[in-house]
Amino acid sequence: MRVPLRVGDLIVYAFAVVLIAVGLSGMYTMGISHDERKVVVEVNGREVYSCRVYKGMEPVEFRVNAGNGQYNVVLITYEGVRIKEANCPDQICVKSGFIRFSGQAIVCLPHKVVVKIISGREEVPDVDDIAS
Amino acid sequence: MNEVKKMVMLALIISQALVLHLIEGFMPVVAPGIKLGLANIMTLVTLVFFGFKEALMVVMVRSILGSLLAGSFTSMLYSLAGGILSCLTMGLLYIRWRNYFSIIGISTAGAILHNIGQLLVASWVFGTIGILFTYLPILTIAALGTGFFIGLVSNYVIKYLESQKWFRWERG
Repeated sequence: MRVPLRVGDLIVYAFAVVLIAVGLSGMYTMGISHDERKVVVEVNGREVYSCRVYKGMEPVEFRVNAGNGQYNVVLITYEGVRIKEANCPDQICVKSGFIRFSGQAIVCLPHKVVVKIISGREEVPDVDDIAS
Repeated sequence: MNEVKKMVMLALIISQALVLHLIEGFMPVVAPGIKLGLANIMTLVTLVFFGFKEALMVVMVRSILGSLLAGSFTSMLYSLAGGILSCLTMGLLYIRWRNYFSIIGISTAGAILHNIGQLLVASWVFGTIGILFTYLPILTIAALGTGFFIGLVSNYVIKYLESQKWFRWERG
């Protein structure tokens, strides 16, 4: 079987390589920043605070009031989210350190506080599911 | 008589493209966005034997009817954008520089541009340019494979049709 290829086809393949490179570099430079993230703070399962995380945002400090004088101070920056300070007995939430990616969470069991990062975009774009 | 024969042939080609389009919908997908593009065989055949205008018509009628039969309005949008963009590319390559490109190369270029058209519509629908970049590399790699396969199949179909007595149609 002879594959009938011609000279010009090289241009097509070169174009494809360029496209792959552009796509990969675009992915690299935009990184996860185009994938919008959201920080959600819950107390006892109820959402008390949420905010978007984007490049160049001012760091946000949010004081969670968990009742009975219990508090956690959440520090939200583009680089990561952590609980800066808390008056819980075990201090596990403070020691958890930074979380960065959607799906991660910090839990403070004594105060029933959950700080989690979720994807800001609910539906995942699925090109061909629709195009069939 | 010639006009009538052309119309009948185009109608047959459109119906075949439609059937291929629908059959493809039943095929399992390896990854989202990757499919063979079987209907592109008929587009290429039309382009070779009838010309650019007819090929564009086949693509548009196939996309609209295919989306009406199995799909939604958005699927029609995706299908039309990809189909028209790929048809424009293939028409340009075939009519202007057919001596330099083989059918396989033309089909691969069409597959790549089909993906770009769909991604442009997707980034417009979802309002973000990000998915264009994340999907482009994987879809382009897939397009190299499927474009090659479809081009090879089209090559055989065109050769077969040329050798048939009932299909007296010079390459246009």
